[in-house]
Amino acid sequence: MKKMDKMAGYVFLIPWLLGFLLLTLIPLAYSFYYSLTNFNLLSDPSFIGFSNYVKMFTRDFHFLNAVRVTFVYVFVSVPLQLLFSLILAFALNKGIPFLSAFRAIYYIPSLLGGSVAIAILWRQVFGMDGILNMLFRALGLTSISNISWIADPRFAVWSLIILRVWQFGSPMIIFLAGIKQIPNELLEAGAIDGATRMKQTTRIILPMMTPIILFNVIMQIVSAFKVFTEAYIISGGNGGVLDSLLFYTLHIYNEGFSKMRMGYASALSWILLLIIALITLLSFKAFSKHVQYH
Amino acid sequence: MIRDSKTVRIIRTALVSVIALVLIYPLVWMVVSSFKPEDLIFKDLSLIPRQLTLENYAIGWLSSGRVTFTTYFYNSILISVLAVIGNILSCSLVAYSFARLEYRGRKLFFSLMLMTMMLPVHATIVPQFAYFHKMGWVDTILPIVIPKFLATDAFFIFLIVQFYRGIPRDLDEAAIVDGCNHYSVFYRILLPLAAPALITTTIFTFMWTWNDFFTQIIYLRTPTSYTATLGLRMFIDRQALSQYGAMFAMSTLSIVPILVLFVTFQRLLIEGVATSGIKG
Amino acid sequence: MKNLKRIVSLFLVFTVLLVLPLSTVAQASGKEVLRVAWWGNTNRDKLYFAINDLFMAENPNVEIVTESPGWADYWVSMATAYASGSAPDVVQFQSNQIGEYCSKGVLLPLDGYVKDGVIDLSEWNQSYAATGKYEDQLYMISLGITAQSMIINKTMVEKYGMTLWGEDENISWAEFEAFLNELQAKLPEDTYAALDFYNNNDLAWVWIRQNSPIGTEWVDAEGKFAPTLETLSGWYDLANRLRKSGAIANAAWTQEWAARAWQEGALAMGKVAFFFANANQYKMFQNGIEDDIVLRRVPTHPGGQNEFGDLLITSSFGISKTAKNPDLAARYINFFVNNMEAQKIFKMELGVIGNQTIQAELNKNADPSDVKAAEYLGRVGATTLPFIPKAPGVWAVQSEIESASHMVAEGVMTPEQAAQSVIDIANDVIAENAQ
Repeated sequence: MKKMDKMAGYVFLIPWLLGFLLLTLIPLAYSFYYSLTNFNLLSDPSFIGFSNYVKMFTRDFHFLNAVRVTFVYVFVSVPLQLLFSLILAFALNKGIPFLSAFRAIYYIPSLLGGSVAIAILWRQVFGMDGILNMLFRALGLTSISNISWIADPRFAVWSLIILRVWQFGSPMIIFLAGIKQIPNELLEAGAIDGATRMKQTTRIILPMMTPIILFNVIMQIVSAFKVFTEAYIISGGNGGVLDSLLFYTLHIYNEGFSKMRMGYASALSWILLLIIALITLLSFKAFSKHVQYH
Repeated sequence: MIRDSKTVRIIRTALVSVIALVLIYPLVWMVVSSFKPEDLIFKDLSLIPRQLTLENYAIGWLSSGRVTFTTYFYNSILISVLAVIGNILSCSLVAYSFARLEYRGRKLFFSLMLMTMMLPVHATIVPQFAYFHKMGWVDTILPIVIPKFLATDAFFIFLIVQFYRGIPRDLDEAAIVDGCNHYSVFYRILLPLAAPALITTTIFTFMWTWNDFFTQIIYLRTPTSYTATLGLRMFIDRQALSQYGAMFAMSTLSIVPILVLFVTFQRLLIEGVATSGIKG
Repeated sequence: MKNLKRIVSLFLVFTVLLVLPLSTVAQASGKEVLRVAWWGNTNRDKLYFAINDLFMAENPNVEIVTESPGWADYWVSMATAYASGSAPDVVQFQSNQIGEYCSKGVLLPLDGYVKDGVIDLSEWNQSYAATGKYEDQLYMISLGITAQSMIINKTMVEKYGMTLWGEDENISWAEFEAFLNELQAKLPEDTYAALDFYNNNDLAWVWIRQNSPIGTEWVDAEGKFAPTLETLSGWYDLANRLRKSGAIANAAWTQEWAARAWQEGALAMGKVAFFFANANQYKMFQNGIEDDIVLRRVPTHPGGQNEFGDLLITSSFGISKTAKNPDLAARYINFFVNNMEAQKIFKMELGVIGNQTIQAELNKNADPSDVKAAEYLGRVGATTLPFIPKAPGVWAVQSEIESASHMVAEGVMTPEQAAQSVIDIANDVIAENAQ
């Protein structure tokens, strides 16, 4: 029995082991190797040491633009999105008629957010003739109603930040589930008066939710770093005026799959990997300190 | 439950309703616009069309003339269904291994599996592409579908593991005493009981694959192998004249399957999100 | 243990079942399949489809399978298709991409087919036929030749009290600049003399050719990127002066308007008076807009290296090395360019054509604006420098010239910084491709 157990464990694990090895581990190693080469897919990769990385930091101003755009996007949209979802989770938790209907409506944008259809819609909402400007015109704000909110480099990234905040439904549902697990007495103790409730929320309830917040922060940051479809569709694939929509993933795509600079694209991917790993680590550190404090 | 005063409750409900309206407005506007005649789309913000037409759908469906949305939707369905089969088969097996079996290295494998959730697809896409290219798989659906049979969607493994852990071990132990081995325990006991998790996996896999753009634009190259998302992208790239109506019509059609699935399995999906943190 | 086997085998069966039908799906009809690709849009596609139908009517055993993504997706699609060995049999290229693909050895030399008469170039204007050559071998057959031009709303210019120079006169960049500034001063708000041309690479190359010694517009003798710092920064500087004076619209405005179909574009809507476009599009504007739309040559550079630098832009068909039946592909191309009926359908869609007999016949019934465009292209072709195919890497360099231009337009870089950045990156790219 014992012996068979051991065997069975591995047998059931076969698909994942194969996938992990063939589609994750080996590609990761290769990706690093390619990042040290000049590789256009038509001929064999030729080793060039670290010059792809050197180029990235010395020559390629798109790289810096892409990092800037992506960081602005991630570190503005994720906090906004989470704050919004946390507030609404608290609002929904306390007896609202048609709760499940509201929950469903709030969740729908999360389902559709990354689709081409929504990106197309967004172009028409924030474009020069879009419905946002129609609204401004109807409100008499003619001075700003001729701005293209997706083409103007000052605003373009904001239309995508709004798109992300729009998708606050899925972290909200996770928060809702988290709030449900907090003992009722704790929540009710907060109901004495406004001032103490504020304290209850910040001192007791939020710290209790730290693991869930951490989970949401990391998941949303990782997924924000991966954004591609919206940026591709809305900028028409070229990253927009002044690289204002050149998200990091779009830069990887353009270098690798449109210019066929696979080696360089691999180097870009590795830097992305390092950035994400670093940020994940930092979030863990920041939150674990916070938890200890209480 | 805490009870707020009546006014506070009314204000809160009103606020929540307004937010819901703002959120849903662009979507509804798109759907409504898809039924408006072309020249009326950007004329008014109202959600009640003054004139209804199905022409946009007819124009949009024909797309480039030779390859129509019939092909694109067929491909989308094919890829999504195969992805579902792959994920269900592989993830449920692997989850059983993680949830119920003891062996050396399990903890290490489990944490590696969790780590792959963080791994951006971009980190491995170049070698994967080079590899599939060598296999002659580029421009086929294989690079999109085969990985699903190799349990690469760690989220679903995690979801099903969580679910298995909630099933009392007494059941499997009783079965083992009765002479069942692990393989029968897996598909006679755990698999049927895990149906809700499997359905959640099915629906999310379907929706994610349906919505996916990055892997599809990389691997699918000719219009005959395009999916609905690529068809839409091509549609907007190639217009001689802007056909907003047709564009909205096809955009609307492309999200219909997702909305239908969501409405049908709403409760299950939201529970799935709540317990495992899956992003929609 | 039985069950273990069952699970594993089930797993394998599924995988095999998945793979099998996919590999057999291709050959269904039994006809010979010819895959043809071009960059298209819904209107242009109709012409190709009609010609393909003609060809299939004459060759009932052939089925033509087509792909026609929009311009932007097209090149990404072809790059991957060639890299993965799944390229269509007949592929449409544009001058700038010729070097990129010919040098990689993915295309079939066509000299043999010309010698055998499968592709008949006997009635061709030989200088047009030569646009398909790369390093003395013929790889491409031109479908049409065009060049950058200025398409101008004469009615609008005159409405604001200005007089346009004559059809056969040329103006220099300095005169052009002065003209735009003078016009702009008279235009109402939200209207511009021209769109920003930060994204117009063809125009940038005209400037580069005007400022480079003949034959060194791309790489110099040492294989380095040839355009000098002075040339490039001069180009960025020119655009910058026009931006500062307000005679060209800002980049965001340009991007928004340029993304529209021409019928709703800036020229058609009376938002600009000057529009840089290829001369073959002249007909479309002239016939689609009520105002008097005229064609003028892009500014010249008297006193520079070369007075004229116009770049003949050819769109042409090539045959992939991977083509299953290259003879059929060659016959198809010959039909496309030398069949009177086919060319009557095509109506100089991509510019003047190589076959002089057909061109003469087309001229008889041609749209007057097509005749104008053909005359224009004749004049340009007679005076400009010879066509020099660019080496691989041009795609990356082009996009660099354009995005450095963004940086200048938005004041992030000075013209000198932008020029230096282009030169550095271009040299990197050229070195990468030489390896």
